[in-house]
Amino acid sequence: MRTLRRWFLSTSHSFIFVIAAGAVLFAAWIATASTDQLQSSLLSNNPVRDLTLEQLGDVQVTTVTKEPEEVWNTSAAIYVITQEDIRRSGATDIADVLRLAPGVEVGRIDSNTWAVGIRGSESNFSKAVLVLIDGRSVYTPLFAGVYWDVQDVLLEDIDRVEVIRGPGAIVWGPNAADGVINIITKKASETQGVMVSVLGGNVDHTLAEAQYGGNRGENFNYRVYGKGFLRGPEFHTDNKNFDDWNQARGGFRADWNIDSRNDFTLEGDMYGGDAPHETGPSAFVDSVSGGNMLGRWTRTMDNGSNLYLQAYFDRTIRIGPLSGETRNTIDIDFLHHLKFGDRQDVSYGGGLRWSPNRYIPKTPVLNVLPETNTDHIYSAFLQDEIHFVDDRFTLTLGAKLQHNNFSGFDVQPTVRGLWKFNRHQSFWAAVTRAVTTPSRIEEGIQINAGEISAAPPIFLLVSGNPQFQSEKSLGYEGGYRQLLTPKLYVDLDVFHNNYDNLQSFGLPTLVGNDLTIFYENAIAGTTTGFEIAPNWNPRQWWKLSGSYSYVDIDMHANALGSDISSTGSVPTYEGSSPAHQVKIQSRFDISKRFEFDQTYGYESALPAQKVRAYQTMDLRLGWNPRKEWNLSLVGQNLFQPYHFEWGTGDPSELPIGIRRAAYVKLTWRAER
Amino acid sequence: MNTTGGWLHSERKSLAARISRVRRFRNMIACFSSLLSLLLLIPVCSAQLTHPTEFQVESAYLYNFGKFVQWPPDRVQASDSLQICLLGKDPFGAILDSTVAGEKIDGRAITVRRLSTVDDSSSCGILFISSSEEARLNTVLAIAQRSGELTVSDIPHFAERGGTIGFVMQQGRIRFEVNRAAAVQSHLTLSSELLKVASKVINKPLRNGQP
Repeated sequence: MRTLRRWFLSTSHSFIFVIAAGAVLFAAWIATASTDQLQSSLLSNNPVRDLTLEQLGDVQVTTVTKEPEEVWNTSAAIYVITQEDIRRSGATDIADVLRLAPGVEVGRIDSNTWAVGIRGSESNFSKAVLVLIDGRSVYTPLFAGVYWDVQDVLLEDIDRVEVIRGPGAIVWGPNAADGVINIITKKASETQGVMVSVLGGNVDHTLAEAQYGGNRGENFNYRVYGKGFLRGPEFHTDNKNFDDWNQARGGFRADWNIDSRNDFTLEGDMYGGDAPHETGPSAFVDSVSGGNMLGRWTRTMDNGSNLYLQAYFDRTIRIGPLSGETRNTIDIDFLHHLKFGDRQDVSYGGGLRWSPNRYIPKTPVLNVLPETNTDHIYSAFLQDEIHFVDDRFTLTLGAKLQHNNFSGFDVQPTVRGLWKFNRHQSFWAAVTRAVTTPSRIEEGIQINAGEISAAPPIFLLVSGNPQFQSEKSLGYEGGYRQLLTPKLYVDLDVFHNNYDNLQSFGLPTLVGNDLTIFYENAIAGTTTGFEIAPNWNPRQWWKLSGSYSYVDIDMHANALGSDISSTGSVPTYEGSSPAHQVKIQSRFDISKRFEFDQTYGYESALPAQKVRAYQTMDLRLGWNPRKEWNLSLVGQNLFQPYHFEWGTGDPSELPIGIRRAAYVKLTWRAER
Repeated sequence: MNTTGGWLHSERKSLAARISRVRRFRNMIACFSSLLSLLLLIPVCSAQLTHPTEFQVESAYLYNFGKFVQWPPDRVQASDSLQICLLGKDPFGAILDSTVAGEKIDGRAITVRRLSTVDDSSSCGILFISSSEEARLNTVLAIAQRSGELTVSDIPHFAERGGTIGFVMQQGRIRFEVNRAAAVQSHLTLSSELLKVASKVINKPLRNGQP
C-alpha cells in the first residue's frame, strides 16, 4: 500500500499516470463515438450489393485491421510479429526482430551477444523468457537463459513470432515467468521453389542464403536450406574489436499430410561457427556447433478435438579457452485438447525433458560442479476453458505441476477471464503464479577470485548454492483491445508482478580458508507498468504500427549482500531495463515496385549498464524490378555513428558501441 | 624539403576538409531521415471510409453467386429458400444479413444461417467456410460436397485444396478462383459467366472425398 501511494505521489509517476489516464479516457471517448458510427455504417445496406460479378472484382477494398483470430480470443498480452513486419524492418537476426514487439527489451551487447527481457526483466542472460523455435525450447539450463548467438533460421521462412508478455507458464513450458517468444516457421508447402539471396554491408559483411522447396504429390512437401554469414565488429572505444564472428547453418523441414486427420512434421538444423567473447581484459573465441531434429504428429478429430505429440533431440557444443560445455537434450511433449459438451474446452498434457551435460573446465579459476550432470524437468498440466453467454465470456482455469532436478516440485496455477464486449472490443484479466527454475551456474559455479591475504592464506571464492531455490512470481495483468475504426486497432495492457526469491549474492563468509560469496535468493520486489500498441492503416498503401511501454521496477534485498556482478543486486535489477520505450514502424508502398519503410525506436537510460537514453532509426528501400528479383537498401541506427545499448559487465569499461550500418540485399526467387 | 612540407600541409588540410564534409553529410543524413519521419508521422486525418470493406464485397459475392449456379433439382425442392450458411467463426456479422435482406433469386427468398458443425449443413445451398475451420477442411469439404453445396471460403488456396470457389485478394481487390472438378463432385452446374469472371479456373477433384 505504501509503495502504491509513493508511486502515485512521486512527480514523474503521477505525470505518467495522468498521461495514461488521459489516453484511456481518450480511447474510451473515441470508442463510444466511433462504435456507433461504425455500427451504423456496417448495418446500413451494403453499397456494393447490386454490382455485377465483374464490377465486384474491380472494387478497391479496405482491409480491416484484424489481428489473427487467436489474438482476439487470447486472455493474455499477445503480440504477433508477421513475416511482412520482419521483412520490412530490415533486421538480419532474430533478436533484433523482437524489438518490434511492445514491452520487449532488446539490448545488443556486442556483435554476437544480446540482452533480452520482457516487462522489466532485461538481463544479459535473457532469464525467465521462454524462447521456442517451432516448439523446440532453446533455453539452456546452464544459466537459465538463451544463447542468442546460436539461435537462427532463414528470416524469410518465419511465418510469425508470437510474443506473450507476462507469465505464460501453463501450456508453454517451464521458465516462462516473464514471457514467451514463440518463433513459428512457414509450412514447407509455403516455401516451394528456389530462393537465393546475398547481402553485403559495412557491419553485416556478408550473408548468403539458399533454399529449395519441393514436393512429392500435394501431401508431402519439403524444403532444404543453407545459410552463412560473416559479421564485423561493433565499435570499441578501446579498439579491441574482438567480436567479429561467423556461422554456417543448414537444415530442412518436411510436412506430410498423411490424411485429412493426421499430419506429421519433421525438421532439423545443423550449425557451426565462431563466437568471440570478452571476460575482463581477455578476449577469447568460443567454437560453437550443434544440431537438432524434431518430429511432431498432429491428429485432428471430427468433433474438433486435437492430439499433439512432439519429440526432439538437441545437441549443443561450446568450447573455448576458458570453459566448455556439451549438452544433449531429449524432450517429449504431448497435449490433448477436447471439447467437453458445448461450453468447455479442456486441455491436458505433459512433458519430459532430460538434458545430460558436461561442463569442461579449462582453467583452475572457473568450474561448474558437478562437472557432469543430467538436468531434467517433468511437467503435467490441466486447463479448462469455460464459455458463457454465447461465447462472450471465457473463464480459463489451469495449473501446471513441474518437477526439476534443482528444486523439486513447483505448482503454477492461473485464472484468466476474457470478455468479448462486442465484435470490436474485448477485455481480459489474469492472475498467474510462475517460477523460474534454478540453473547449473546458480547451484554449482566455482569462481576462484584469487588470494586476498597471504598470511594466513585466504582465498576469495564465488560459489553456487545447492540450496538455491526457484525464483517465484505472482502476476496480475489485464488488457483491452478495440477495433476503433476498420483501420485502427488499439491494444492496451497493464500489469503488476510480485517477485520473490530473486537471485542475489550473499555476504562473504569464511568457509575453511576461503572467503566465499554464495548465490542466494534474497531479492524481492515488484514491477508495474503498461503498454499501449496501436495499429493503423491510414491508406491501402501505408501501414503504421507502434507502441509505448512503461515499467517501474521496485526491488529490495531481504538480506545484506554483495554487489559483484552485472546481475544479482537491487541496482542491477532496477537499472537494467528501460522505463520508457517507444517503437514505431511505418510501411509505405510507394508504387507497385517500390517500398519505403522506417523503424524508429526510443529507449530510456539504463543506469546500471551505463547506457544513456537513445533513439534509433532504420530505413529500408525495396525495389521489385521483376517478380523474381528484389533489391533492398537498408540503413540501420542512422541517428549516430554508434550508440550504447548494454554494459559489458565490467564497471571500469565503457559499453561497446553499436554502429551505424548499411547493407544491400539481392534476392532471387523462382516458383516451381 | 619545403615542397614536401607544403604538400604534406595541403594534403592534411584537404583531409580535414574531407572529414568535415563527411561529417556534415552524416549530420545531413541524420537530419533528413528524422525530418522525413516527422513528415510521414503527421496523421492523415481525413481517413474516410471511402472504400467498402472486404466483408461487404464478399457478402455481395455470396449473394451474387446464387444467380450463377444451378443446383440439382432434388436439392432445390428440399428447401423453399436459398440458404447461405456460415460455418465456424462469423466474419460478416450483420453485413451479410443486410445484404440479402428482402432479396430473391429465381423467386426463392434468401436466408442466412450460422452453423457450428458441418453436419447441420444438409439444407444449405451455399456454404461459406470460415478460416477457423481450416484445420478440418478436408472433412468439411467431403461432407459438404456429398450434400451438394456450393462451398466458398477465403482460406488460402481454397480452390486448390478442393473447394469450389475461393476468394483471393489481388492488388487490394477481392477476386475469386473456381475449381470445376469440385463443382462437378458437388453436382453443381456453374454458368459460363461465372467461369469467365473467375481470376483462375482449375480442375482438381477433392482427393477421394473420404473424411
